[in-house]
Amino acid sequence: MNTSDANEIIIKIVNLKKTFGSLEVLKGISTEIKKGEVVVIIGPSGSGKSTLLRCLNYLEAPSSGEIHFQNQLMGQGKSEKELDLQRSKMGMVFQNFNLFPHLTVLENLILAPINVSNVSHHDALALARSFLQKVGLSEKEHSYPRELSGGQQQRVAIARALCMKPDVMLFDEATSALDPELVNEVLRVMKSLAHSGLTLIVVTHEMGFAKEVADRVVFMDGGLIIEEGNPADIFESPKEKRTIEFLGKL
Amino acid sequence: MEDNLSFWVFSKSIVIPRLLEGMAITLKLTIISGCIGFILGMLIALFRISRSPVLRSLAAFYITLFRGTPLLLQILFIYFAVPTLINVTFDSFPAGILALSLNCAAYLAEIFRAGILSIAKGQTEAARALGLSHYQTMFKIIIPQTYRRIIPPVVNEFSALTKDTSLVSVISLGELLYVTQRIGAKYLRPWEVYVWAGLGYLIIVICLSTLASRLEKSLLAKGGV
Ligand SMILES: Nc1ncnc2c1ncn2[C@@H]1O[C@H](COP(=O)(O)OP(=O)(O)OP(=O)(O)O)[C@@H](O)[C@H]1O
Ligand SMILES: [Mg+2]
Repeated sequence: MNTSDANEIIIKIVNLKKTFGSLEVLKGISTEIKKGEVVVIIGPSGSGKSTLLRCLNYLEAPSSGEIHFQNQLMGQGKSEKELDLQRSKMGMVFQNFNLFPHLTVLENLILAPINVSNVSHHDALALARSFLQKVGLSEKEHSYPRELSGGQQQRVAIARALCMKPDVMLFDEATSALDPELVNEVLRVMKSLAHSGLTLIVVTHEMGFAKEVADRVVFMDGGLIIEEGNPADIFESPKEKRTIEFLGKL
Repeated sequence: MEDNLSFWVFSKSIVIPRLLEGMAITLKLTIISGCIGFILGMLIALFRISRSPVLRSLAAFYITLFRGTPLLLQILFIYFAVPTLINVTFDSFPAGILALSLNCAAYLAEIFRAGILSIAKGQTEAARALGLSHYQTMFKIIIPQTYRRIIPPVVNEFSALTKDTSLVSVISLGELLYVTQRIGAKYLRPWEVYVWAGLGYLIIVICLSTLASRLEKSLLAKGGV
């Protein structure tokens, strides 16, 4: 990566707000994310972390504010189809994996490349197999999701997202639903993605992961970014009272 | 005289051959109305959960109308009243098919809608996050997952449909019940005739259920969802 690349902004969030009925969940989020950056979002339950991720790829339409993704405004003024394409370039990994249970692992992986990116069946298979190998599950390609452990399912879910060749990956507590002994196999995959230069936005309670791989840690509370900075600053010398309280409880 | 024939001879020579003809029409009514109702019902279910308020209310109106009035009335209305409104006359067979399909579609639509709503929201989210469109998500992800869970209520509905076809006897369509009534009246030996007719319906319904449990098992063997 050269220096101009390193400073290229891939996502710019401007005064993003989201209300559900009368509940204001995001109260004006603004930040920029650089290409290749690994941003870890932490914060108490209900602070709006998931909502922020879901607004980023427009699974939820924001109530106001703007999201610029690769210098393009997300959503607004776009046709459904254009929005689907923008969305497909932001891979998302969920707490509950959300693999498609009626499809085999391989079918889970090739579905979107074929139907969204119009990749040929042959190329999609090659792509899928290469990513399965990357997450260490080549031998499971014909299994159904229910035949896999949680950790394996989550690695398949990551591979499925990667098959769309995303420019950003969003992780929403990807390891929270896993038995403790399965957390590491998923974190290992996430770390290798971080080192590969892919832009990652990760909501997690795994502070070890944040300390080790984050370029920036964002602390959210009550629908606002309270404090952000490099992991050493946030974890060792937080400035805001609420950050100190939150980290103190861990 | 035929009155003197024994039960078996009377059944074999007179009742069963004619009832089989009636049963063939009952089967045709069931299969054709079932297929049309299935497709129409799926369409109405999709309208019922679509994002357009107009489509949603249209579908809700349709379902209320056809589930809220007696099927017998719908049959009579289509056969006797519709021709006076618009300039078409129906034969009793197409009129019967039309009434049964429209009615069965309303019930199936509710079954499909419930099936679709029973699939976890995370499935839609995962599909949309991958860039699949609303319709791709529906047809490739959500609906295939409903198959196994809607088989029991759909078979239930088809059994009801099989039995409901008897109502089109009121427009002189020669299905099983109509034929039964005619022979029963003609030979004045009702109980033998009605017993055979009852068996006729039972056979169709039992075949349906057997087919359904086979299907369910084979789906279970595949994805198991
Ligand atoms: N679809 C929705 N409708 C109504 N309220 C919602 C909806 N989604 C989220 N909320 C509310 O928004 C608030 C923030 O939720 P969100 O899931 O973003 O929090 P979070 O930071 O991810 O919490 P957690 O750590 O528990 O996952 C919560 O109070 C939640 O109840
Ligand atoms: Mg959350």
